[in-house]
Amino acid sequence: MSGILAAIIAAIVGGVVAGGASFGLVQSLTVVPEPVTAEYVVYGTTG
Amino acid sequence: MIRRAAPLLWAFGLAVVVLGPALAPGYVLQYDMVFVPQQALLPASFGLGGQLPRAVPQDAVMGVLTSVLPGSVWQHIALLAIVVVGALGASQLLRGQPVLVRAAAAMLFVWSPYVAQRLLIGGWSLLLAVALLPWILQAAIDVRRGAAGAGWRLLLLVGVASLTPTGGLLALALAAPVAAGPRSRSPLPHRIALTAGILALQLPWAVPSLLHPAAAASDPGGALAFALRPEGGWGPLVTALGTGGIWNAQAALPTRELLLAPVAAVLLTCLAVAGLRPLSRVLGRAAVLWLGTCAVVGIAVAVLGAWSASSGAMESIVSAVPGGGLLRDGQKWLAPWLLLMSVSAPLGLQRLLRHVTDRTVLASLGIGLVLLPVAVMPDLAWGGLGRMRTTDYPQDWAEVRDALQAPDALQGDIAVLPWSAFRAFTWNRGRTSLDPAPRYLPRTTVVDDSLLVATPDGVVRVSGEDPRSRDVTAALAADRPLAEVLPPLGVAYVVVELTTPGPAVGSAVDGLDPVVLGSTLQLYAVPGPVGPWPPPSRTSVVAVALAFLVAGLVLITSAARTGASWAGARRNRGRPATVPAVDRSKEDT
Repeated sequence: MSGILAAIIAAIVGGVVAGGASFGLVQSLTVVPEPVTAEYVVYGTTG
Repeated sequence: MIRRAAPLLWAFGLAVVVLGPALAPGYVLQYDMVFVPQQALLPASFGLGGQLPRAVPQDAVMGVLTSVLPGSVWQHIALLAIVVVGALGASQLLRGQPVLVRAAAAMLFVWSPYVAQRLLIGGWSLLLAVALLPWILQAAIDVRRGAAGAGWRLLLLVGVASLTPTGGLLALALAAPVAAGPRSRSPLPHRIALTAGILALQLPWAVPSLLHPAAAASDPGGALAFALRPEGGWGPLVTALGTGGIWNAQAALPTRELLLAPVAAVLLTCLAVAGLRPLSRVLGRAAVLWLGTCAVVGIAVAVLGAWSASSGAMESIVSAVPGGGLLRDGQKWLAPWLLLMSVSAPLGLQRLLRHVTDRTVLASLGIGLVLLPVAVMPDLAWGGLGRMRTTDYPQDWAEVRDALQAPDALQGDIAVLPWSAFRAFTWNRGRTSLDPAPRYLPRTTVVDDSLLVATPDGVVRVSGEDPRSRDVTAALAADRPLAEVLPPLGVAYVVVELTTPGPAVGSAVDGLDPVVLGSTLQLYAVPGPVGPWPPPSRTSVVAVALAFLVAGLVLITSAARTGASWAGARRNRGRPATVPAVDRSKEDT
């Protein structure tokens, strides 16, 4: 296997890891939680 | 020295990254995870309360442990142990393999949707059992291979994993057939004794469950409310293969909805299938076959409860089969699949790359697999990006506890308001948590034991089992004063928790005598004579006491024998070996 191909594979793997983590973090941090309007505390939400 | 300590240091580092602010001083009160400074030992701690014993013997153990050190210490130990023990366990199952293979197994096991979601819903005792599964499997394999002392080690591990019914069943299902099944090299009497010991360790939760009047009647509504929740529209099966799908959307991280989640689930499943053959060479064919069987059954239980075509059958099982209620939260049974996938996928990648010699490619793909869980679910870091945080109980709680322990305090139990099972205290930043009162207060409490679950069709109430709770619910609905309702139920006090949403207390405390009026917690005494509430029957008490005694003896003996064996091994370290090493390559097993 040539060095260039190896470098491309390494770059793709690094890109997936870094890109996935960055995108996931941004998505997670920008989620706006739904306001809690109930007068009681529910165990959880299935929806 | 550094080389030997490196895995431990790495596991602790991983624990700090995962848990973050949850390791600060104080208490993490989150959904089912409630620790208190000193937990009282009450009949309910031993499964003799009004509700089904879902946290037995966990509550009894915490009652003993918190008499030595405060609950916050034990909570921190438990949380750290979940990550550290789990990571080291998955890694040690693949000992002898390259470091990246072992690191990938540890990461896939710990940085998983299963662990994340169960952490966020506070299932610490289940997660402790799951973290012990790799160690249990290794001990069972050692027994199967005829290794001396492995049986005691297995009993000790199963005992610790059996803090709750689900943990006990997972440990039992995984360990017993591998250790004592056909073609085990352990002598038959040992195998019988070992199986009996593993079963004896389940007695503390099994006996009170069987004696409970509601043992055969869980609310069938729970099967639907707590069924696996497909994530991101990928369907139940892909969600289950990804080890996610907890019923509660509030306990799932937002990244579970992204495309990378199902892609990773399918990729890791393919790698895990490819890794089965090399995994059989490492662990033995029988162990892998049985782990695979447990994984398939677990996936089936999780998925069948979520598919509309089969969910009716699951409802019937939950409502009609004794103990069927254990199946209603289907996602928790994905633990064997989590373990199998975590240890098999790295070996699968290694197998697929067996003809690749370029070190850059091997290293980049190996490191890529190690970091894949972080890329797919980065929001687990730092306690789910700050979702898990500590708090402290307000001083009012200690004052109410002291008042209830005063020499002139009334005899009788306690009812707790607002009348609902869960709280969202302002002093806990509004986080949802189970009411701490039943564990914090030194007497038996009567609480609302029904569970409210918000579904797309509205709020569903899953009924509890405590008859006194049902009586109070009916009285409050009819607007009857508690001063009149509680005395015949053996309740002498009412505790009112403030700074949390919940049904309005209103006139319910009219006619009660205030004892402590704090800004976060109040205690009222019920005037007049309070009738005695019948204690558990003598037969039940004797049966449960015997169950705890037998299990305790098995656990203590196994701990002592394991400790002695470990000390002996340390003494002999460095001496020439007198016993030939086990040749794994010739095992079928």
